[in-house]
Amino acid sequence: MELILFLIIGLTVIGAGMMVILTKNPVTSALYLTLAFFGLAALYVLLGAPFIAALQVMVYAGAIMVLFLFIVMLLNLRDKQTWELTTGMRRALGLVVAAGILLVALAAMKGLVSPPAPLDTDMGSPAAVGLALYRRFLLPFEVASVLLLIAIIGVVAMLKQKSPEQAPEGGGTDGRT
Amino acid sequence: MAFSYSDLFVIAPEIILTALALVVIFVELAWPRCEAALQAICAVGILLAGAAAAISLGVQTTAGFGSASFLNGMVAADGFSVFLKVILATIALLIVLISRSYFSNAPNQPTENIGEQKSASLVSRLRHSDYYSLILLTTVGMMVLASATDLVALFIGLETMSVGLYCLAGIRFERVRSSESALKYLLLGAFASAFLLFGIALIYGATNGATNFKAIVDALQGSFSSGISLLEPAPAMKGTPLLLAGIGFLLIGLLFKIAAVPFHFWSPDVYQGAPTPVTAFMSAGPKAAALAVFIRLFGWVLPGLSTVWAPMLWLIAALTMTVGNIIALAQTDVKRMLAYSSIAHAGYLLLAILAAGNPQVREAAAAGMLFYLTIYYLMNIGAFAVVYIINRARENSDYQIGDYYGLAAKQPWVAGVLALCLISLAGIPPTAGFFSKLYVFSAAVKAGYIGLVVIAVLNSVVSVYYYLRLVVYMYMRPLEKPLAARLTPTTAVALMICTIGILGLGLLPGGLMKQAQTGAAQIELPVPTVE
Repeated sequence: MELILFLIIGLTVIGAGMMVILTKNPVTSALYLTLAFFGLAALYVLLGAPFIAALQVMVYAGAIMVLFLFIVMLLNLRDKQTWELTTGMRRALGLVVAAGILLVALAAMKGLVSPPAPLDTDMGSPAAVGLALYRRFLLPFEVASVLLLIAIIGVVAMLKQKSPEQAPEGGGTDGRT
Repeated sequence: MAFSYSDLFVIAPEIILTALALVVIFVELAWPRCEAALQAICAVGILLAGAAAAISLGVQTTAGFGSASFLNGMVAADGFSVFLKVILATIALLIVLISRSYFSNAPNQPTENIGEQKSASLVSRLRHSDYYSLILLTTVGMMVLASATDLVALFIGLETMSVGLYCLAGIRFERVRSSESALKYLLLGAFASAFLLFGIALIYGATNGATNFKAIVDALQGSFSSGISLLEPAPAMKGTPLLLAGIGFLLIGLLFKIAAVPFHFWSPDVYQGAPTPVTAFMSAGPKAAALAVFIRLFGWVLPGLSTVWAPMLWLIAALTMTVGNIIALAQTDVKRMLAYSSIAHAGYLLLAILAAGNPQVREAAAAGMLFYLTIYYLMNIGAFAVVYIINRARENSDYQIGDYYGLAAKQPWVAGVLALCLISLAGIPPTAGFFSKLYVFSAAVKAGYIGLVVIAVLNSVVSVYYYLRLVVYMYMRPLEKPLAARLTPTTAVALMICTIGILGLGLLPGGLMKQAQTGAAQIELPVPTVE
């Protein structure tokens, strides 16, 4: 039962991921990405991590995707406008590289004779996640906040230089809050 | 206990720099337009951070060396990481010094598509504190990366460093070159980070859920007791395909960050487009931090698998040196030439990683690498600082070699510093560049990579041509255009530090080398205390 569910969800995620890069329309791409995120959340549930699954839905499928869609719509791309970056040669090269990575991944999985050690059933609970963040991964957790600070300062510094004509309407996007 | 009071000593440099970044922002909010004060605050704070790193080592040594495990084994507090933190703090200090008035008065800097008048008003909207705090926070990321002993800390340190560098590369957003450079770096860097993360995930799977370096060593040796001494030569390990694939992906991510050859395509464009002080930062800091974790990982965690990764790295090192030097020969843009030269130097430094795969010489290799990195940032920052001065004096936005014709007649001191840096980069004896190559190459010879060292020496000979070509142009060609280079006092101080460093360490390399050897001998892998 679990295997069947895994196969269905896994194939959905892969299919949605493919569609993200195959569709020409950016809005459709973004919607397929949402589907992929929901699929990933379902996979987390299957792995026994409901809290991570909830976060995945809230943060990625919710907040980040809405942001994506807003930006895509603000960019005001017409339907005809597509990205013609790929030539036949590049496409072939990309295919070769992708096939190579797939081969490496398959070879890596071949060595797995026994399944990995089972995890605690409590592993995905909010309490367990919190404990892992604040005890085992305390330093990376704190450094992540430095990372976010850099991102904020960087965005503000870059956007401030845009000339008034170039900046989108509404002073709020200026970064000065 | 996951956290104790003594842990604060270990990350004191990072804490000081983070606090400093916030202080800088608020200082400029309260007193706008006082770049000198900001610079002074940054310089004092960075010196404090460097001192804190040294003191933390002293505190730890008195507390009993080697027994302690800080912050749950995420970062090492050994002599090696302290040495690197001091290097990184000095890099940040030099960059802060040479960045003076980069944003305030840039009348000579034409922009490609925006009028002169408007550009001046735009530039004035950028606050200095944004730039300085980004430099400081990026240095925090580098310090975490350089001292990481856990794959999670490695990744987060690497990303903090990279995101800071993307922002710094694009800090002149209104210029096409700068924003192009930032975008290229961001897209390719994100791709490389994905590879690195995939590698970490595979290693996590292959070692039964280990991310800590020591735990990985234990898992690979098949015993989960921590009684094995690190000083013993690691037994030959047979990696599972999963582990090997993970190491391969990890290798790709790290090699991208140091711009080794199959993954170097971003580097000349990014170096050229980024503001010159940022380019100096990029060429020195990330390389030092990434190579530090590289040598710790491959020399101390995965030496047992060196039969697998050494041939790959051998080829990459040879390619990196050769391609970097050969392409540098054809460059007429000085910034691009220095970019290719830094690719070539990454190739020389990979020799140290290779040598570290041999447990008998790994300490010599790590010491040689520390010495090399110290000299390398002095030479590179010195050279880029001069490039920056000349570019500001000229009325153009590129860095053509013609700008340097007859520089020595007009600006003897500036030309002298650049000549010294270039001679040192070429590795000619009276300068420190010679000893840095000597130590790394001799470690590689001891480890048995004689063929590769021959390639490296031949490459050094090739590199002499393009370094000295610039020196010859500066001294032998007549001055073509009038030149009004203005040397700010802080830049002069930075150039002086570089000059004294290159000459002093070239004449008396023993003291620093001894320090580097002590640092390398103390490399340890702390054990996680919480599961």
